[in-house]
This record gives sequence, structure tokens and C-alpha cells, in this order.
Amino acid sequence: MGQKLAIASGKGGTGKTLVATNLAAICNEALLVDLDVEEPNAYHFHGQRKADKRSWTHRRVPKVIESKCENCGICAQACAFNALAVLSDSLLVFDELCHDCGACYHLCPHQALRGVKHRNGQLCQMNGPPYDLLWGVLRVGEAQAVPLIHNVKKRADELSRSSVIFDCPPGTACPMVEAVTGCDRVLLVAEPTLFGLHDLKLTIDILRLLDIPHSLVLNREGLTKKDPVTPYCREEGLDILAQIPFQRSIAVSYSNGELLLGDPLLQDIFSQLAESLDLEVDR
Amino acid sequence: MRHIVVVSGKGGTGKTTVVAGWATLAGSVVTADCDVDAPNLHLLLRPEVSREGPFEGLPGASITGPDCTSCDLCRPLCAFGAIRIDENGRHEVDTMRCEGCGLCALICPQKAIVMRSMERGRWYVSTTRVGTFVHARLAPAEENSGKLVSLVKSKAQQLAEKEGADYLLVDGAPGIGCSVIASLSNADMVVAVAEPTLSGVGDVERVLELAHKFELPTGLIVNKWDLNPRISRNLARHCRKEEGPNLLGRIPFDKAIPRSMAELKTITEYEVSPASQALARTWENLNVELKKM
Repeated sequence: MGQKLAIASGKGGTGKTLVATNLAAICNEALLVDLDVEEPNAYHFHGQRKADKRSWTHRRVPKVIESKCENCGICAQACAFNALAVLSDSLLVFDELCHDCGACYHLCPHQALRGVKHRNGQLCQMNGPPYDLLWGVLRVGEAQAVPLIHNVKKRADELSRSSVIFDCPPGTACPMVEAVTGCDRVLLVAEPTLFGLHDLKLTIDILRLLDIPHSLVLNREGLTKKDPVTPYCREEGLDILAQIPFQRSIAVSYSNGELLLGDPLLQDIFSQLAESLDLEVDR
Repeated sequence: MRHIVVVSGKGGTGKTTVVAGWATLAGSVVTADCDVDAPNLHLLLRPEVSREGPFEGLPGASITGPDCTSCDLCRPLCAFGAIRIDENGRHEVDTMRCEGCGLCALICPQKAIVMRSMERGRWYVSTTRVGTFVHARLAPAEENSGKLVSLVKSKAQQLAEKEGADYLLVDGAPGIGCSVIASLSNADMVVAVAEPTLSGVGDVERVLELAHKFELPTGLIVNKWDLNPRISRNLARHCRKEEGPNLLGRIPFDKAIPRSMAELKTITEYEVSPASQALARTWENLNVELKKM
């Protein structure tokens, strides 16, 4: 069945990419989209050395048309992000601060501003097996992840695949929200620790605000003697769809960029997880 | 005063574990948590808040009922799709999407849109068993985390100077975006905590590149090193390169870390373990490097 599934967590390092890559590998037809544009990792598990397609991505920033600019300063005054500064005979644009709200173009009385492309990263694709992958890589030094995440999602839409799995960035701020918005459901990956529970709760707050249905995978089950996450899920009526045991061998495979599906027990876990998510499994 | 910022690139490598452990070894220290959207350090430091305040960020648009004539000039102009028509046909602002640019308020012919100041988070100055601790929480789904990080940093720096602290230890966020960029300012050294995985190496290279762009000295700790000795060796080799970070040490995978966390203790406050000893060595090595600077 077609759907957009987001894999999120709140806390970093809980196993989003581990779950996303293995799920994508076990599913027929699923497109894996890595939206952690600051630190993408899904490509490591693909096995291919180079991307099949790579292109620059851009966001729009203003540039002054000198002959038309009258130094009135309206644009700089209007810019809420302090991205424009009017000097006695020129206009300075601070690309890094521009949020592309469009106010300056709209308000300039002399049509002296035009939008130009500012390179902010790359869009890359790899064809499967084990999975078709689309991802974005933010240029180092670029502060804003959201415009690139937005671009990657737009490209994913253009590929018109029936099932899409989004590997989301950690945290609970705008990059994560941009990533999960528009998805049919979210699969949360949690670890049974206090840090994990703390961040999980923050993430669930957001998913409730966004009204996106969500369920959970417990990773590194057995890491601690007292698991604070499972009782919390029970109290909140949150379904735990799968548990991945804490096993040194899993950590080692992951460290080497290997998928886990060679292990029959783990293949079973991912197979059942996929089925409980209504994803069609490769037999 | 030595200002150390701990980053990682990849999440979950052990930044908070290292900062919390170092805070117990540092003596005179101010600590700060700059992972404002998923802060964890307070769970171990168990702070008592002495002062707190709102983080305002940018104001948010609000459409005032009676003056709006539904002319719909604003909606298509909003670059963020933050203006919509509700089920009663009235224009309203989606506060989660609104980025506070103010264009709608500026162009509304009826002046029916106002920019309201909004509390987008909270900052805290607290006391803990390891001294003053500055932390914050960004409200869910908010943006401009970089601005709140800058606020935490500036308060932490002021306090460290006022107290004459020997160290300012900053727990950073994962990634390389605005939060991380804001957390690097004025650092004497940026210490990256890396895990020996393909993902971890790729990620730490990017955050080190970021620190390099800002011409900041860098250090590296390899955490959970024994999970992949080969990749750990590669990371150490990278440190020997001219522009590589100073290798501050390596910490083995040790169940004492999750166990100490479960008891709300830093690894150094728990029973002596290979991890606690390795962490203490990284602290010594850090100080050796700092003395050379």
C-alpha cells in the first residue's frame, strides 16, 4: 500500500538510519529518502561507492540591480532577519541570514532587487539494489537545513513512488518538523535510557501538535536493567511494533556499513515490522 | 578561562557523557548545554534553577478578527504557506509555519495583521553540584535555535568571566547547522566525540571541517573505540595529519556508561570503570594541549 513513512527519534544515535535502511532493503518498491541533510548516512549502507546522480541545490537570495537602487533602505528596514544592510552607496546582502521570505523583492519601490541562486548543497541519487536512495547533503558552513530538506522532499514527490521511507534528522526543531510534515505516519526509534525517554517525549509532543499517527521501535533492547521507555509507551497507548536487541554484533555490522538482513533473526524482525507498517515485503 | 565546545556531527556518540564527566574533574567550571532542542545534560547535573527567562526570537503574525476583510492579499505572498482559511472562511496564521518575516503585516491594506512577540523557548541559569549551569529549552518545532544557542553562550561566557572560572564547558548539538555554528563562537578548542563507524567518521569529518572554516583548534575523542578497532585506527591516523585534530584519547564501549546514566550519575561519579579511567585521561590530555596554546 502506498504511503509516506517517516523514521524519527528526537535523540540522536538511537537507530533511525539502521531501521530506515534495513526496512527499505526488505521492501519491494520503497524509495529511501535521507533527510538528515546535515549528516546523511543512508548511503553508507547502500554498498555503491559513488552516487548515480549528483546535482547542486540552491536557495534564493537577493542581489541588487545597481542602476535601479536608490539606497532608500526600505528593504533593509523590512528584513526581519537582518540580511540586508544599506550603506551610503551600496547594499550589502548577508546570504547566510536570508530566509527567502520575499519581503524585500515585494517592497522595493524601484524593482532594484532580483533573486539569484545561492548554492546550499547537493541532491544525490543511487539506484538499488538494495534500495533506491535519494538524499541531500548540506554544504558545510550553511546554517539552514530546512530549504534543502524541502528541496529533497520535492524531488521525492517528483519520483512518484508509491512507498517512501524518510530517514529524518535528530532533534525537535524545524529540520525535524520539515522532514515529518506531510508524512502519513511516523515510526519513532527509541533507546531504553533516560536520555532516550526525555527526547522521545519532546518528539511525541510535536507529532501530536502536527496530528501525525506514530508508533515505536525499541532499539538496543536489553541495554539497561530498567527500561523506562516501555512502561511509558504502555501508559501512553503507544504501540511498540518491534524490538531490536542490544547486540555487539549489530553495532559492529553497523559500524562497517553493513545491513543486518543476513542474520535470519533480524531479517524476521524487519520483515514483521514492514508488514505491521503495511509495507510490501520482498520475498 | 578555557572555553571548550564539544560536538560530534553524528548524534549519540557521547558528547553529553564526556561533558558531564569533565565537569566533575574541572574544578572551577561553568557548564552550558547548547543542544537546545533536545537537551540532556540537565538530566545528569540535576540543576536547581536560580534565574530563568523567556526566549523571544522573532515575533509571530496574528490576524486580528474584525479588521480582516478576507481580501486574501496576504495568503499567496506568504513564502512559508503560513496563512490559511479556516473552516469558518476566516483567514488565520499557522503559528508553526510562520517564520516571523512580517511581510503580511506590512502589506495588509486593512492593517489587520500584527506581529506579536512570542515566547519561543526558555533559558535557565542554575546551580549544580559541579557549579553554575546555563541551559535552555526551545519550544517544540521552533526555528532560530541558533539565536537561543547564542543567548545561552553569551550568558555562560559572562558568568564564567564573572566567577573567574577556569573552564567553560559547552555541550553542543548534533549536526552542522545553525545550532552548531552558533555554539562554536569564541571556543578555545572544539572537541569532537567520534564513534568508530562509517557513519560516525563521515559525520565527524564534516563538523571538523566546520570548525576548521572558523579557524578553531580541534581535538578528537574516539568513543566506544573497541567496537571497531580498524576504524578507530583510521581516526587516529587522521589526527596525525597536519590539519588533523589533536587526539585526546579513546574510550572503550563500557556498560558502566548506560548504568551510571540510569542512576543519574556522571561516569566519573559511578564506580571506577575502564570508561571512567579513559575519560579522566582525555581530560588530562586536553589540558596538556590547552597549555601548549
